[in-house]
Amino acid sequence: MRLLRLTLIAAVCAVTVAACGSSGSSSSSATSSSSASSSSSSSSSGISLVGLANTKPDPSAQHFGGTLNIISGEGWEHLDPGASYFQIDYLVVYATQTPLYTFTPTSDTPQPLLASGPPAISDGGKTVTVHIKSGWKFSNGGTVTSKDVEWAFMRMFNSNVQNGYAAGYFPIVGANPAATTDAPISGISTPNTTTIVFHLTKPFGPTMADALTLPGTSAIPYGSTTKADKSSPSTWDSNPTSQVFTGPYMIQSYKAGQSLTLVRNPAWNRTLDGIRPAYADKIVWNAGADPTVAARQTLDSTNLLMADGPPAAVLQQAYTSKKSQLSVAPLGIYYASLNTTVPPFNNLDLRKAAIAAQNRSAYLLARGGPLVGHVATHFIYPEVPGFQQAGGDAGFNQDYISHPTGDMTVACKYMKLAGYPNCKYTGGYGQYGSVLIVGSNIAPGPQEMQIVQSGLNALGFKTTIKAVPQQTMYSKFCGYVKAHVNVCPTAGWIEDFPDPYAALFVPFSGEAIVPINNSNWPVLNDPAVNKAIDNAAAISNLNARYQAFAQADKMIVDDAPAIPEVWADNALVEGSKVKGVLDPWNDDWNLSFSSPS
Amino acid sequence: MGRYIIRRLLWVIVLLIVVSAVTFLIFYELPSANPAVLRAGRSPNPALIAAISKSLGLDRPIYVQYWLYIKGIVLHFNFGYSYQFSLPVRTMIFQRLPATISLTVGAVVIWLLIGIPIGIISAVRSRSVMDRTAMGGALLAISAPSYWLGLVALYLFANDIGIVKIFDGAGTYTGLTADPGRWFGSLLLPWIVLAAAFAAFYSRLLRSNLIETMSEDYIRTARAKGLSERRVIWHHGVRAAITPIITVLGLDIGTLLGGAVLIETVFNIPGVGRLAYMGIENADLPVIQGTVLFGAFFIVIANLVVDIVYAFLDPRVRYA
Amino acid sequence: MSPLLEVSDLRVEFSTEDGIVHAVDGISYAADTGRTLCIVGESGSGKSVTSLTTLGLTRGRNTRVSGKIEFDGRDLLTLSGDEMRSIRGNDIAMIFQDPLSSLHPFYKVGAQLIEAIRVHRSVSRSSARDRSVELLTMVGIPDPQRRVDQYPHEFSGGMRQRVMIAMALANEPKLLIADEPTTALDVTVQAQILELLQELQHRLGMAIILITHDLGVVAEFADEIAVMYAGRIVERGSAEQIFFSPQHPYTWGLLKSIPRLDTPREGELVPISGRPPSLIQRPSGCFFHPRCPYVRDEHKRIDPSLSDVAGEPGHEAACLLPTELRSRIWRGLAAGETPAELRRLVVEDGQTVPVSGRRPLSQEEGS
Repeated sequence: MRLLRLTLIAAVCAVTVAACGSSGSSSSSATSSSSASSSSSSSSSGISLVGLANTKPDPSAQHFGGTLNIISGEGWEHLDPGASYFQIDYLVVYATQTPLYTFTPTSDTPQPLLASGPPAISDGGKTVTVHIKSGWKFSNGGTVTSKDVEWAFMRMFNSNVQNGYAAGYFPIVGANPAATTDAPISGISTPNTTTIVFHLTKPFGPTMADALTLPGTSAIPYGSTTKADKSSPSTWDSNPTSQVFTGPYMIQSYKAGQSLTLVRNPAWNRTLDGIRPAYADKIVWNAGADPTVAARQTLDSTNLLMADGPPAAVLQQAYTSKKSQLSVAPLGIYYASLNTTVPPFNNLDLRKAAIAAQNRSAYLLARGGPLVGHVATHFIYPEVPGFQQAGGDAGFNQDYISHPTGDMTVACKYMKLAGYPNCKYTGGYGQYGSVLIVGSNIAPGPQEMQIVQSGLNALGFKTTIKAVPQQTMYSKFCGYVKAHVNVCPTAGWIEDFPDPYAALFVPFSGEAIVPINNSNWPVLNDPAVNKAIDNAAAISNLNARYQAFAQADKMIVDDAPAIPEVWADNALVEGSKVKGVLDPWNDDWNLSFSSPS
Repeated sequence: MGRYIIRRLLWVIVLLIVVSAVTFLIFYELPSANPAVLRAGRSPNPALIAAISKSLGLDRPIYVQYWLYIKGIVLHFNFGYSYQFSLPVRTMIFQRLPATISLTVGAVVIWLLIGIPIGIISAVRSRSVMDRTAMGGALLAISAPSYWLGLVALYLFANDIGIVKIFDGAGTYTGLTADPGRWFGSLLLPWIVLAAAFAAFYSRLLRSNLIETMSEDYIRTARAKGLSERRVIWHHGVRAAITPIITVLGLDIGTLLGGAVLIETVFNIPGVGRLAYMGIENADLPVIQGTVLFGAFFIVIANLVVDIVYAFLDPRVRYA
Repeated sequence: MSPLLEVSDLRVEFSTEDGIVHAVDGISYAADTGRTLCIVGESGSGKSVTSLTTLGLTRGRNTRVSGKIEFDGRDLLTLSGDEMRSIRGNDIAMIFQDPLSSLHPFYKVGAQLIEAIRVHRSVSRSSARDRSVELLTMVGIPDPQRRVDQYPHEFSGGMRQRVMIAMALANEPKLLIADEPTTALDVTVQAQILELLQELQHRLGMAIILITHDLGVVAEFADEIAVMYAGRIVERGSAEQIFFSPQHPYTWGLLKSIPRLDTPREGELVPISGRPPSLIQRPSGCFFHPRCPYVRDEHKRIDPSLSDVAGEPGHEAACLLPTELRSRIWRGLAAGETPAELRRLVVEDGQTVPVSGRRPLSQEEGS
């Protein structure tokens, strides 16, 4: 799972290792997928989307030339394409590098970028063959060949490069995620200069097709980073101006956490690229701004794009008076995990009772009301393909989910089923002597903990609240299996790319559980669910695939491992004249499609 | 005096060692997160974590880790690498030091130019309308949180988002050598905002000191000698009342050189304070440690300088 | 020849939050070249205010000064600030009680002396410095070339007072006002300082007003004495008159409370009971009556004014008791009797009080 920003999304992706055999790391990227589903789902929430900024490409109205000015509060984490994993980093990496495939502002199926056509999946899903375009040039003059793509994969498995998803999305034969050099991988072969073949350890081909859009698949001159990759992380990361570029832009200057300048890459060929228009001649990005000030500056400007979201107060103001400079799009899901392995919530009926007793609309209010999303009912969220198949807004209508403000009658029903005829819990607890609730100590963590607590107290559960810094929550409590925390209300998820696999595997599959930095916070290990997800991952036909994942979603909801809280939207602001174009799957600007005028 | 300075310098070293040890203890041994996990970039596999732990020396006992850290500092002036940016902490701090120094020096000049005259006039005309207004205003300036004041200042006077567009807005800072005009313009508003609370404090401090000083016997003697009132106030009164101000000034400069975190954040000035803030936000322990040590260093040195200067100002003070 | 300084009916009032402080309530005195006037009284008697007012150092928003202070033919109370400044430290100089706090701690002694000189004389720094060394020599400070570059805290108490004197005399003033100059010093040093003052007076011929509460000091030095109480002069005369035939109960109290080597060991010191009155709410009638052992009923109503003592020209006292009675009481006190014992004399004496009650509104002595 890709980390959006500390303050926005809580969950951290964990890559399961060879020890677990399979792997799934899912990240989330805000997905675009069918824009139809996005607009309908947002508008059903109660705020009107009329008058908001148009963030789709508009070639007839966009002009070439000029400088694009970006401003952000966050700085960049990893600009090495082999390591890059953050929403903000992607803006730069996708403009300066070229993965095999890409999603675009208007398409939620992978489009060939460096590749010349769709991947060929054979051998029951265990072999993937990709052909690349010929004549693509590196910025240092060389020509891109299949060996350069192979090198990119070799780098991803070099732990010095610090890639977070390779083992999860590329289960390639012979790949060793514990490698400390750019070691050759036996499962990758390059029969000729434009063909690369991947042999997988399991029928993961259909899902890997989506994963080939990740930046780590960008071609890198074979052998060029051996020295750089001796450092951890590679100096391609700490000194990004030393990179070799294949995208429309190059990194001209970089000051960590401060500023970044991109200029046109003279070696890039627009016709060969075929997808990215690259309007601006120059892109200047100033980071480290105070978000409130930056949001105001952006709204008052003609030419700024703000790469992170505006704070709540400015968002309100933008919605009231500068709608045409504001865009709102679905981002991810928030939920409260219920630990299924320790008392009291190792009992399914008690979990259902707990969910039924929750006032789930309170979570939406705690986050900021209808402007920031709407109440969740299942785990494939809007913008992820499969959302409609999974019932859309209403979901599967289980009785303990169907009332957003809670339903004590239903809760009581399940309490009785669990053996508590008075609807009050009188049983035992785990090592903490009560239900331990651990959440973030910055807003809305404390509020969410209180909401959870009041719902549980109404059923007679003894509860203890512990507020900790975000990092601590991940690494010492909720993400640390041995801590056996009962409830984590600040759980959240965004996927890496628009596919339901990325939304469900890591948070809910038993195969994704790891002892530290775990992201399956409910520690759910239902063999039926695990199998359903694995089987769905092997399906190529999109419709059948989405149906299968929707079914898996239902099975997960039936397992009641978490209280669905909010399907969150993300807002972005731009200046009055600049034409910002959004990548819906990343829920942030696409620098190659946006133009200064 | 020489022996005194040497003794104090030895104490500086002792203090810095203590600060580094406490910081080390807090952040390495009572971590909010495993440093190797953080350094591994948030999406680690256990082999990666193990490899990084080894390279960071986290598998060694704590005193060995501390010894290595101190050795790194003393022998190689190496303060470790930022988890987030993978750059040497020392480089990042030194790169950002000029911005912090620029901010500090300008603010000091402004608050002295404003605070001292107001303090003197208020003391000399104490209880007048002017005095009461000035002291009331000073109280407001001291009470206003600097972050809020910065925001208000931007919303009023920044030429991009302000109502009266006179000053450069946030994020316009450029280095002095790169573009002196823009450097100056970008710092005007931050200087004023940063100086506000200090000017207020200094004027109040000087006012009360001067009022007290003016009631001293030697002021009466000065008047009895037939000196002009201006000379009595300046040469005799202010001269005596200014010594605590100098002390406080030295300490304030020392503190500010560690980074004016809030002002740098609001105005997006890429200084050491902003770095410290980013470090805290991202649990970037080497950065936090480095900025804390630097801050401590400046404060401790400032203490020493102030004490030495005080001996020059007040001849009654002599160090053995 | 008219006296150098003549104070006539001086009144100084301060308005404070608690009321009007009558610090000085109509006093008159004179000082002459080559002679020493001692003003004696407890703290709060108004003695310092008098001299500060002479120098113009009490001018302020809340101060009302009336009367006349004639110095060298000019009324100081009518002069402007600049005119007063040219007189301070020049024609009239003043030294104060605590020489450590009266000298600026941050400047060298020489610098302070030079400053005192150059504010009134346009001379070069180096000649001012030479003069400073000369002054230090004059006041008896050894090694003046070195001492002139030292700071006040490097001098002993007595030395510091010498420096103050040097500073005061820098411009050869006609009048020197010394406000408690020896109070903060050791007894042996006190004597030295007084000796120094006397010697300087002989040499330079200036008038001295010495303000003190210590009659022992006064005895050595004074030509004339004025005793102040509650802002008024209650007795005035030559040193001999005051010491040998004091005519006011307050003066008696002051004299009897000095320890003397020739009083028998068993004899007790006789302090004046009570405390000085508030200058805002002063007692009715005679200001001293609440503390006077010899008070009669009418003293609580009638406010005495200064009147001549018969047979002693230049000797005045403000007391309602008849002169012979007072003389008899004094003789008793001098012989060692207690005030309690002597009170009976007052009670027995049935003589009516001479009617000289009201305070004169003009400068004329009422009677």
